Amino acid sequence: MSNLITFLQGKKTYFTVALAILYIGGAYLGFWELSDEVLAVFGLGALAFLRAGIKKHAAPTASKLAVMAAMVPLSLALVGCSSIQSGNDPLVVNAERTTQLAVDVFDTFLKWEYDNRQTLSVTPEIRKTADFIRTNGQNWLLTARSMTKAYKQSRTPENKANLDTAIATLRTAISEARRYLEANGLTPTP
Amino acid sequence: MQPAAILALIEAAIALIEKIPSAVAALKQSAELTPEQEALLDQRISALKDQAHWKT
Repeated sequence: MSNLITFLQGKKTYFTVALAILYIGGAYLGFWELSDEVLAVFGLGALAFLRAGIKKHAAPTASKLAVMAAMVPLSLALVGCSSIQSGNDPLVVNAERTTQLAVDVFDTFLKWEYDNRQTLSVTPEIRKTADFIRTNGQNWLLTARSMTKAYKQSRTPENKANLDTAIATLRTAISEARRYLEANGLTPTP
Repeated sequence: MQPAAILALIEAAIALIEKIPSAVAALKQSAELTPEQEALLDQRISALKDQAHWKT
C-alpha cells in the first residue's frame, strides 16, 4: 500500500486526467453512458490535486508549470462537461450530442475500413457493416436531425417517441462500428 | 500479426485520436445547439457522401 502511495506521489493529477480521458473515450465509443456526476468528480479531483501540487512545490520548474498550465483548461473542461445548463432540455442536448458523436464514429470507422480494405478483407463482416453504414448512415443522421427539430418545435409525447427511436438507431449503429474497432484491439474492453 | 495489419491498427488509432477534440467538444455540449451550430452540423451531415470513403 505504501508502495502505491509512493508511486502516486506527484502523479495524481496526470492519473486523474488520464482516467477521465479514458472515461470520455469509452463514452465516445459507446462502452457506457456519459455520467455528469462521474465527469464532475474527475474534473474537480484533477483541480484539487493540481492545487495540492502547486502548494507542495514552492518553486516549480518551468516544464512543470507548462504541464500544469495545460492541465488547468483540461480539468476545467472536464468540469464543464458535468452539467446541462438550466433551461435546456436534456433530451435535446443528449440527442444533439449523440448525433455529433455518430458523425465522428461513422466517419472514423468508414475511413479506417476504406484505407485498410485489403488488410481487412480477411473479415468480410467489417466490409458488410461499413457498407451498411455507407448506405444508411446519412439517412439515420438526417432522420435524427429532423426528429430533433420537430421535437424542439413541438415537445409532444409523439415527437419525443420519434426522437427516442431515431437516437436509439444511431446508438445501435455506433455500437456496431465500435464492435469491430474493439475486435481489432483498438479499444479497451470495459 | 502481419506488419500490414499492425500499420492498419496504428492508422486507425491515429484516426481515433484525431477525432478526440471534436468528440470532447460534443461531450462538453451542455446546452441545446444554437441555430449557427445546427446549420454547421446539418452541413457536415449533408457533405458526408461527398467523401470517397462514404461512397458505396
